[in-house]
Amino acid sequence: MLINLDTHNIFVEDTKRYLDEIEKDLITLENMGADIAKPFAEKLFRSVQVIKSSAGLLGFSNIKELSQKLENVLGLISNGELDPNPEIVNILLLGFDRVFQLIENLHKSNDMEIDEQSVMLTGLTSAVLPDEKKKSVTQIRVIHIPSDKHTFQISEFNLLQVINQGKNIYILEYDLIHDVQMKKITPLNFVRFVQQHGEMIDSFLDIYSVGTLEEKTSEHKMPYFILFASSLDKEELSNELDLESNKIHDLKNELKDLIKTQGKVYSSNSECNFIESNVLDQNKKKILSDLTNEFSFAYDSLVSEMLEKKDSINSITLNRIGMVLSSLKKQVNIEYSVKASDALWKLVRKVRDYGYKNNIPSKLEIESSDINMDKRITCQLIEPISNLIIKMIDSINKLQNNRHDAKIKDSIQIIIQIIEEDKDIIIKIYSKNYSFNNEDILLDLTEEQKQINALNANCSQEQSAEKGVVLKVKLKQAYSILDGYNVKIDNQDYIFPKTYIKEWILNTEISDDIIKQVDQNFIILVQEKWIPFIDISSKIDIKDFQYFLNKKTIVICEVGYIKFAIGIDSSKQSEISVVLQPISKHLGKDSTIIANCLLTDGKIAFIPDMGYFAYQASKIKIT
Amino acid sequence: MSKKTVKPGKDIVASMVSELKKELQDMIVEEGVTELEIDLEGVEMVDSVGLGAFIATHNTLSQKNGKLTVINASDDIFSLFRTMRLDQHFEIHQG
Repeated sequence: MLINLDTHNIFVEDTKRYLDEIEKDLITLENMGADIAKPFAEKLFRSVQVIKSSAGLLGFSNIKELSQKLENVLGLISNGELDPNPEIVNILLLGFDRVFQLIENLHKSNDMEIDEQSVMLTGLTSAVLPDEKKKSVTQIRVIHIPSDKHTFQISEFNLLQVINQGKNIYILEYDLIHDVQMKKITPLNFVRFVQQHGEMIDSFLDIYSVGTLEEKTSEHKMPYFILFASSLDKEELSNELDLESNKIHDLKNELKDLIKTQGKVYSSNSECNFIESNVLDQNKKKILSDLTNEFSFAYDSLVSEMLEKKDSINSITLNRIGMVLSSLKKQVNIEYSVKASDALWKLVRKVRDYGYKNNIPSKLEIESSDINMDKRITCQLIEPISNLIIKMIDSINKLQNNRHDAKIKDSIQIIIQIIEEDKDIIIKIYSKNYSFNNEDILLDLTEEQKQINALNANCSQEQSAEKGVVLKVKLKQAYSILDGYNVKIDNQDYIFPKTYIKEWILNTEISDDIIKQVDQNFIILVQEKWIPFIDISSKIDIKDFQYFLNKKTIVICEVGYIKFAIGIDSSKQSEISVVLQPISKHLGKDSTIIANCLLTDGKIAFIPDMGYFAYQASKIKIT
Repeated sequence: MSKKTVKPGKDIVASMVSELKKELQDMIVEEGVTELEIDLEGVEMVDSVGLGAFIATHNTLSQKNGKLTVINASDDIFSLFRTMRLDQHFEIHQG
């Protein structure tokens, strides 16, 4: 496999997807109990194997090591040797949280601490095993390499885990000069090539054979031994690795006491999943690239037809542009569209963790049909909605305590129901088992409402006789894409639509001196909650220009015959694509913010409507 | 005990290793350097012969109770050294 710059990004994306699934499955596992845990544990086991193999392949040793320890615990659950109770699931979740942090800081991951999670997981492994197996965690097996110059020392438990996966264990004997250098392969590509065919458990480079700088040896040798686990048999391995059979030492006899008929063989090609997803990703890129080329071709045809001043523009060209745009939109939507229940699954984890930490047993169920949402929107909804649910749980818990209700010890069950209504999505949140009565009070939603409103959504609550307090979040389903420039004004991100920008000036801090040099025919319009701007097609009073002091840039915009200027804090303009959502509706008639949008990193930005600016500017009477 | 830093500034491959080894040998044997730092800034690739140069330098310094440290290793080179367990013999720091 060719490792290129995209490979790390693909690894990060794929691993994050796996981790999302793992988190969901762990919570399901906890809720299901030991009886039906096995299939889930096996699925989890395989997912973490893929992460471990890919991390090993790319040299991220901490991710590999922690994944190995998580895999050990999951192996015990799938074997029925460990009951996935909340304490154990909690330790696993903390371990996977750390893997996520390592992935987020991929290039620093090898230097990050994993001791805390490793100790907990190893402790868990050894603590729950029966006495006869307990020693395998700490028992070290010494394996001699063929030249007997060195030994591999590996925990028997790790060897058992590999054997349980149906893999064979070998020592591969290489000479880095003859088997690598002479074949014009770099050591890095060699290691990656070997890792594609199995797992490097340990390795030993015989540095004593290399000698010193002073020794002049005619024949260079660099023996390199790899303790290797692979589902391939010796002959297959010899062919795949292009390594003579006598240099592959099968440890079947040496480890015969550990090798038992387990009757459980996992898919041997888990390493391939990562590579397959790489191919899928490349296919997606190719589709987008083809569509972009097609669009460019159609656009050129349209321009040439217009230049030839044809009476009517060829409808085939226009159709082609329409079709390509629609396909492009579909591709982009596929990328961001996600099942609402999947996107909001994090809420289940948040509720679980809150209940666990505060000793209020709580469960959350998500009911939804196949409703899709934009994942950039849903990721912003997690925080406010989880806060709403926690408030609801606290309120129910308090009421139950006050009423001395016998049911107080039961788990609090919260339902999230997602439904479609016209082009809106409604998220209803209520408690399944507890009805509120007249003495119940409504929740204070002020903070959450602010966060939800910023997403072009609104939040309300009502009391119903059947369900008690019902929280409702309503948001739009449709979005459009807009190109523009991202700028910062008074610590708030704004997007300037690309087409309206006339020019960017004064790419430096604006001082008194600079202002004096500027034509004084300006007027300034300052509104408390809106971007101050000046209409530079009219006369202005210089004293109103003070707002622009200390701004790094002034953007000149032109709409029709109106020209106006806006002072911004950033000296650089960054070009971006955004998802645009009109929000004028919930801001009321006199609102000044015209639209908001989500940037690709999930942050919210606001888009000034230049037409609105021009309209306001034209109303200013010059005195 | 003297300390010195060497900065090859280019890929450490067979074609340049003899020259590099000579330079390192002069430093250790003739100048008496015992703490040697190899700065890998600008080095994108190390081949097997190059790896041999690091190991031979480490072996030479070990005989003289000296110490080898590798700094500014790229992600790939750092990962290679870790995979080959060379970090158990001498210190390696990422760039």
